Amino acid sequence: MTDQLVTPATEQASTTPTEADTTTIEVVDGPTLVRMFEGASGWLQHHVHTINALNVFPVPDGDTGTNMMATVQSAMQELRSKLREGEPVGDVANRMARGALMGARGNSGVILSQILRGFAKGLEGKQFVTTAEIAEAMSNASDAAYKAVMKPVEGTILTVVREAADAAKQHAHEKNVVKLFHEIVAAAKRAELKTPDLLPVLKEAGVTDSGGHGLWVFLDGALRNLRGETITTSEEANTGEVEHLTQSVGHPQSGDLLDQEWGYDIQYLIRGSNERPLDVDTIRDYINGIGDCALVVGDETLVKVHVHCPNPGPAIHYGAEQGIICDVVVENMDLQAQEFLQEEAPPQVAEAFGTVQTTHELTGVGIVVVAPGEGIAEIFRSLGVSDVVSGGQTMNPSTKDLLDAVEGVDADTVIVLPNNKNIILAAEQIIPLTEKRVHVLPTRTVPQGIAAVMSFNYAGALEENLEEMREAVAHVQTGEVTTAIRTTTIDGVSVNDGDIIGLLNGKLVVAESSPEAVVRAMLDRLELDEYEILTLYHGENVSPDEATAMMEALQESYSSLEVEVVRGGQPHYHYIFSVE
Amino acid sequence: MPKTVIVTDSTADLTADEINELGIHVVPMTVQLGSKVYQDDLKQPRERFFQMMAESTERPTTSSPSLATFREVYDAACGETDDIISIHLSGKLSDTVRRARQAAETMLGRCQIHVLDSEVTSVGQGILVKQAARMAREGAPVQEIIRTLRGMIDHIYVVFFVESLDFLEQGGRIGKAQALLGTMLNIKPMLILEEGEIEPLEKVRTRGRALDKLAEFVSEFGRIESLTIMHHQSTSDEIQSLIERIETARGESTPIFVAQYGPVLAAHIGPDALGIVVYEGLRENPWDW
Repeated sequence: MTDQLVTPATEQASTTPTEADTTTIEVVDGPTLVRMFEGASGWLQHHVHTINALNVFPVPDGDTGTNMMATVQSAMQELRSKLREGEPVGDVANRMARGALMGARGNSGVILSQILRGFAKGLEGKQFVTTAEIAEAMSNASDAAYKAVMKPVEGTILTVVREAADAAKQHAHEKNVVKLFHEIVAAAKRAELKTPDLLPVLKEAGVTDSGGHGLWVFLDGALRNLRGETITTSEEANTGEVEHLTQSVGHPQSGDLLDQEWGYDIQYLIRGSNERPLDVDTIRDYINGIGDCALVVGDETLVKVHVHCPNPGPAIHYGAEQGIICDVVVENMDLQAQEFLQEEAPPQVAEAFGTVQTTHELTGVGIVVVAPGEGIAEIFRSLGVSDVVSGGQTMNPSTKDLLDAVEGVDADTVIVLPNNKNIILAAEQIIPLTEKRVHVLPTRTVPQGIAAVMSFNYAGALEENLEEMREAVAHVQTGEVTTAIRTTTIDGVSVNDGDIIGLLNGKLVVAESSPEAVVRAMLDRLELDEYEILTLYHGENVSPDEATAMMEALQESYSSLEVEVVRGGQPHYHYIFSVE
Repeated sequence: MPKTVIVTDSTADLTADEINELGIHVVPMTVQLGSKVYQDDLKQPRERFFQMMAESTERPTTSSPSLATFREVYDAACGETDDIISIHLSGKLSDTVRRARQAAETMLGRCQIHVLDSEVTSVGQGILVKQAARMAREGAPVQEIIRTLRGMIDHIYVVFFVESLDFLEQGGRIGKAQALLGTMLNIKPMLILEEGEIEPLEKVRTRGRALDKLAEFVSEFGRIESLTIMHHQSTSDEIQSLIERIETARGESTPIFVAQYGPVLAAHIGPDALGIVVYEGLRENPWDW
């Protein structure tokens, strides 16, 4: 299978020494590191789509390239915001690491941020560094990456960083930083090419690891600028990020062919402050003027904006001028989604806020959850959670998004439910960043999160509650139904691009032609005697009528189960269901 | 010296045999269903009314006993004694205990009536009433009986789940459980009586899971003197299944009783609630657990 290995050949140029490698640089000072980072970040930005394309799983998932890029862009912003002349290399590395940590999204983004943090630790307090010190810092970086994950897996970004660090150590005697970096980058590529031999799932799909590839791209970009190339990161870091995210959350199967004529669905919250209260009417007037279907609700402390525009830039830019914006969701709509959104009435959410008492009001313990889709967010709010961060399969919130939500809860103790396997790590990063006591319960699906919130005991002590919630999570079966975005074979199931596929507790088990057939196939795999209730959360691309028809059909076949259907409003996933 | 006499209301869910044997006086509660009014005095069988409730589409309403009803019962009891202890359901759930106090004042000079808020109801209240009656029969002084009962109240736990919050909401007895209103998914809230008030514990999706939670609740006690399953119209299969879960959690040494909760409670929590009343017993030595 290795002959079919997908790894973009054109990018391998810098692994062969070139004329430019005769450049001799003996020390890296602050400005040099900034330049290297600029190259690394710009190169990553440039290759985000090829990195995303290496995603093995046929589900629209948190894209590795997008997540890594969002992470380094946050670092880049932090660097640019306070750039000063003659800044010591240690300080530059430190700010870079901090920026990356705050912006970390997805598992690959979190690991990359930890790599930068480990690297920065090695440079601490130094004005400039030599090759030996860089080699030392690379070892630190590798150790930090391994520590970031509970169960390190080889054949991933971890293998690549470790082998890159080993190469650095071997060549630490080398005086020229350019030569050292050349060795590091070459070792990273060799390690990346080895990943399919270490991780069967990669071999089966005929690709190298996307995170490993991303790290190689990152290191290669650093080397290129070190040698004198001038790769830059797009100046409008924010807009760039939004554009890339948008492309990844649109219809991934259409890739670059994304047609923009339907425009974007933009939603965000603006937080005002005492000094700068928000003027809802003025905001509404402006938003009305720039797009369709505008909805602006709220008060002087918090305003929710929802609008459809041909271009997301102005709406977001305007919001950011009014106050602090958060929970930004930008989606590229296809026609169907657009029609659907017009039918819906989002203000219900605001009402739900008022009536439900949150767990922190009643017990002093807050709960922050991540939810894909307004419907699911609303269900969580109705269960008394303190805050909902929007995100999920395709939009992994950053560490900072999660941190902001936690900081916003009026309680000293907060339980965080990531509800997605690719968000758990980012959530865990906030623990040392806040003075609040934060407990991350590693929920991997929305139904697990709902089960956990349900089992929160208002009279229970924190430890008991965490235990109860863990137990509840183990008790629920999750099914997820989506459309395959690539042709592949995973866990013995062969999948064609466009098939409807079913994941039972995160594992791909079935590929069929219709959502109903997929749900039935998954239900038939469960010992249904043990369960009493099936809850279907239908996605934004399923109409309430279709969902109801599905519910009725299932109710007829599975008469021993109580079948319930609720709008989840999640993107990409036709249905998420739980069996309890 | 004549013995102390015990009075309670019909929400104590005692059987006719228990009342006769222990010489307990019962103030009947009133339940109205449509145009029909039913007096629950624990002496007549409740089945007919339950049948009516099950067949009716209307929601039953309840009212606490009038002053006259109280006076009637107190009058009768006064003929037997100088000291009455009148034990009633939680003052946070009903006006009954306040009516009792008002009625007791009008009896001043004829006999001494001690009104006690049980802070619970149903089987929990019944445990207090039976204890009081037993002590009275053995000739315990009235103050000692009251002291004992006050001590027992903190050791009685009433935990139950309801099929939905509709009955509680409509009857206005929802208390802090209103925190659970507005939940968008169908849930079966687990509730507890805490200092006389209904408080939310957690939210459960299915009856099976609720049974697990009830068993889990009892598994946390070191010692249990009595454990009673409180239901209204649960199937014997469901009750058996709960008993099995409790036995798995605690071993078979704890005796388990089953009692049916009455029409007043059914009107307020619905006919499909299921719960457990635990009485830990009084510790003779605080270190002896």
